Amino acid sequence: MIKIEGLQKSYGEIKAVDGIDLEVHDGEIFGLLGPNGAGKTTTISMISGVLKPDAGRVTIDDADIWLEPKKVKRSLGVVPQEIAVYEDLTARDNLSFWGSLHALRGKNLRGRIDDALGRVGLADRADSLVKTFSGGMKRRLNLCMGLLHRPKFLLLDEPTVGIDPQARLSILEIVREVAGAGTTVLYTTHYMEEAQELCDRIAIIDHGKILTIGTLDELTRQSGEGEVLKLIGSFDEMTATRFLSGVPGVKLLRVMEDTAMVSVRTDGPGLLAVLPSILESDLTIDDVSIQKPSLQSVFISLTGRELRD
Amino acid sequence: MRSVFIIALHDLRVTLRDRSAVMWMFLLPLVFATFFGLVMGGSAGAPTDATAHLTVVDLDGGPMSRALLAELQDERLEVVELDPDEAAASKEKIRTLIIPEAFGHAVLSGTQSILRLEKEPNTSAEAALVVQARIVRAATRLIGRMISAESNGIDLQISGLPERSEAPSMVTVETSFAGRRNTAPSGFSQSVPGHATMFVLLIALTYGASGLASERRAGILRRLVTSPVSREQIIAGKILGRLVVAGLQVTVLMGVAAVAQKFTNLDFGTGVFQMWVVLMVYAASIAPLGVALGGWFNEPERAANVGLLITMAMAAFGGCWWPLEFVSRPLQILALALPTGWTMRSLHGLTSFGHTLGEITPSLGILVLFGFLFTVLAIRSLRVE
Amino acid sequence: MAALRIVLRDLKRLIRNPVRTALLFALPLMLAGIFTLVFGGDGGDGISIRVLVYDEDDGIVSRLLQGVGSAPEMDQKLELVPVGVEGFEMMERGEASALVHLPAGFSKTFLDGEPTTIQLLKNPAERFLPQVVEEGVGIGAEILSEGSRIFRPELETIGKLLDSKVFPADLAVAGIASGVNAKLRGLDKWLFPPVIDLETITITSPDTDAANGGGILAFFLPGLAMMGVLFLAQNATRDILQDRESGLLRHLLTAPVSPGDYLMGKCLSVLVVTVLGFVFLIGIGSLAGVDWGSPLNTAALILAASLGATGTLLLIMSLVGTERQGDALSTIVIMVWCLVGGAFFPLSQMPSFLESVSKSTLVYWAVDGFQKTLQTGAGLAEILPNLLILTGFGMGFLLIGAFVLRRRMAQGVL
Repeated sequence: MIKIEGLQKSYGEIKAVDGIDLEVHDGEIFGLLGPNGAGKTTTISMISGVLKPDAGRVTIDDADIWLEPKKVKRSLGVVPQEIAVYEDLTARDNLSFWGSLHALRGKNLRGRIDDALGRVGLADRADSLVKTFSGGMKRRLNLCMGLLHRPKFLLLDEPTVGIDPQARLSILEIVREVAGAGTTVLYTTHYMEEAQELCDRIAIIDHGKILTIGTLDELTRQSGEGEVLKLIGSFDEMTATRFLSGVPGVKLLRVMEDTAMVSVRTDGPGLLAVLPSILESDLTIDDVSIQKPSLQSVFISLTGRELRD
Repeated sequence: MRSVFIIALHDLRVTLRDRSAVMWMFLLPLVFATFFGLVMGGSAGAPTDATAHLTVVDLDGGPMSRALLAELQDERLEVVELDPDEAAASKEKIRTLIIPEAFGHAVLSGTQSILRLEKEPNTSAEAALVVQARIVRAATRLIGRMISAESNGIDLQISGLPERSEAPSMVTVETSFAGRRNTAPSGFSQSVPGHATMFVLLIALTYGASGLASERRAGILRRLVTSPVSREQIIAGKILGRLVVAGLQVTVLMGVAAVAQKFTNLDFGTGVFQMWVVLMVYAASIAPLGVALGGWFNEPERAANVGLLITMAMAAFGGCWWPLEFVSRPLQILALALPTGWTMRSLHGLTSFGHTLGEITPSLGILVLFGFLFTVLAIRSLRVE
Repeated sequence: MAALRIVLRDLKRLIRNPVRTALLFALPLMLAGIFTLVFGGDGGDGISIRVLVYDEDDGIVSRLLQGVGSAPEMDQKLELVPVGVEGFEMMERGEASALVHLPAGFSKTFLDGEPTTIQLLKNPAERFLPQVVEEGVGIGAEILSEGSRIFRPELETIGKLLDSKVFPADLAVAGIASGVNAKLRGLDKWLFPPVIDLETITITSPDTDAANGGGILAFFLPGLAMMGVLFLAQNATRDILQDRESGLLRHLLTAPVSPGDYLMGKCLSVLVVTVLGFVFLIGIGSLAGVDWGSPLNTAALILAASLGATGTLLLIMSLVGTERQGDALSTIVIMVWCLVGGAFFPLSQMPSFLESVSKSTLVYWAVDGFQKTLQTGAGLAEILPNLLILTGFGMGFLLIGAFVLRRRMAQGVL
């Protein structure tokens, strides 16, 4: 189990991580979801022993990463956001180097390399220079380097940034397989769908703080939000705010220029009752879209903004 | 410890994969050392000293000026006599001695005649001093011959200058070189150690520093920290990596020097193996400087550029490009503040003085101190967060 | 128009990254500084020769010899350090250019009319300064030898007087003095002043004032400026490969920019950058006191040499596949050209067999053109061959390079 207690890290005045507590249980895929700059990478860096926290502690299987670094790191696989590979070496050379740092050698090392390359679909490019790889292939190799020593815990920091959908699917598939084999995975992302599809439990992080933790169901239930209505029309912000705040069973999320967002409360009269009263009001509404309750709506209800903001 | 070696050998592998690095490690030092070795006096290994060039324009042409010329010929001067017109047109001349018209007449009548030595601009001041001294010496002998002829009752105006007497000199100068060698170093004795010293530093401070900066930029250093390797091991591995690269470079370069010594008349004094030892100590002393530099800069290109500038300055002021005899006293003292200066001093000890490794131990000790200093800098500069 | 935009973009990038741009100029300027510091003070005035003197004899003649060595006119060039037997160890450590050893009994042997020897120990790591000392000591020995013959009777008397245990009588001393004086009077016409004297002058051309502070800098700066400009052109042409590797070139070509526009823009921008770089380095030289001679010549040479540098680097970059290959190949060409082309040391000191190699480099023709203008005040006609060669090859390389790149772009290789 990965246990994080009161983790803090500041850069000057900026609090990058502001008192995080969380637990990642054995065998689960845990998602850390948040926009860019929310503190995900700083958190991963502190968990993996790259960055020393200002306060708080990280224990992995009850061992403190700063007190027993070598012991902890042996059970840890880290896939950084950067493609941290040697471009001038072949895929096999890269893996051989990292494997040997994890005390793999000889036949065992060679076997693991072949196995890992096969798993990420790079077996036929094992002896090609990395600089000849496509972006997706480099990402897969980057992942492969974190898997080589078959870690008990795998930390993935936005491993799908900047690649095409097909390559992304392939990486998600690999992560699922790894988790299926018993590895505990901590996965950071700012892609809502990834967290939704992949993770058993999710923590939403923003401005260095964990806003909420739970399974997808728990999160949507916790927030008390139903569907989200996105209203586009010609109205001024003040009128729309005044009107929408008064509609029963609706929570106003945000009004900005010609767009307003409201969520339909699960404890109110429901969507079918609310929608006509909005459409028949004095607001000129040109378009309405209805979004099912999702992480997106949970995120909006918690932060008042969409994740891509 | 194993991790330290893995990191170090991996660095060697990454460096050797880079063809341009290989070229700068092995090919260009040989090209530069050969070129400058030839330019600075070649391998002829003159038993004592270099012969200096002197163009002579004899406007007098009489027996007295011929006698002076004969004296000059004895002075290890490569004398080329030209007509005034030829001399004016010549582009080859470096310094020209002009024997004035009526030189002989003036001298015999006891009137002072002034020889004129014209030195072309920007030619070696040191060589000019040598030539100047040799001309004065020839003139002194000529005056001595005149005095002794006259004291023997010979009227020089009538019978001219008698032949030189073969009487032995009453005071002779017995010249030898310090150290155990009996030959002066050739151009290669400066260029081979000089360029080996410079290019080892160049690789450490450019490829070494920029490689490390690239690794940090690519996130590889962060990734290293997440592996079961301590920070101390990473720093030690990186320093050892630079040492392994420099060590290989030194070994190959000295290997070529050893082969060259065997098959040509090049002579590196005490021996190439001893030079190898000095250069290895030097490599160990500057390897951490490359790591320190790589730690200071985030941009690989900037690290390499600054490394290049530092290398050039250290090479020039440390005496890798020219013997320090050419530079002023303050610059000679400056050389003592540089690892290149102590390395060149040690290497000259071997190649020029024929010293043994034992005799140059103090200089090597100072190199080790530099190594400690640079290691502290490397530890302080190598940030991985 | 598109070409001009590319030129402007490149210039803007240079300005936006001042540290990088400064580093491009730093190498030639630093080398020029080092050369000036080391070789400045033309004429050897700055040289001081450190000589150890081990006077084991400590007799009348040895002290006389030392007195000559420390005469005021010798003082500037000689630093005489009296030492004991430890002087030999100092020589082993290379702490002086030479050690003059006057052995025990030197004076007595000399006065007795026996042949005697001065021992000179030279620093083997130095080539010239020990020789100067050797020549100087040699002159002293010549004078002593001649003196020994001429003043033999007087010297023998002095020897006997010194040998006797009693203090010499006034009359005896006066006798010697009068004898020496009489002989010296006979030698007067030869020695006072010496009948042959030597004056040394450094030639300066009427158009160049070597003492204007830029003397040595003027000598090295053209070559170093050419090196700097070649590196500048390397950096600028490397952009073509960078644009390709970063995908920027593909992106650019989707805009209404033809490959021809792009190449013309790049060539122009490299040329502008190299000319500006050259002007900057020449300007620094002027500030340091270098008189570049005819402005027309200088301007023509800057243009021609910049074109040469641009063409050369464009051709190299057109032949390689990746930025790193381009870097490696061009750096070799630049370094070798500068080495044999006379950027680092005077062409006159180059071995003759290298002359033709030297002439095959554009660096040679640029340096030679500047040197002719600087040192001999040559006019435009005299440097015309230099200008033609630089421009001709520059243009030729540029056209071939552009053609190759254009073809590679058409084939989609670039």
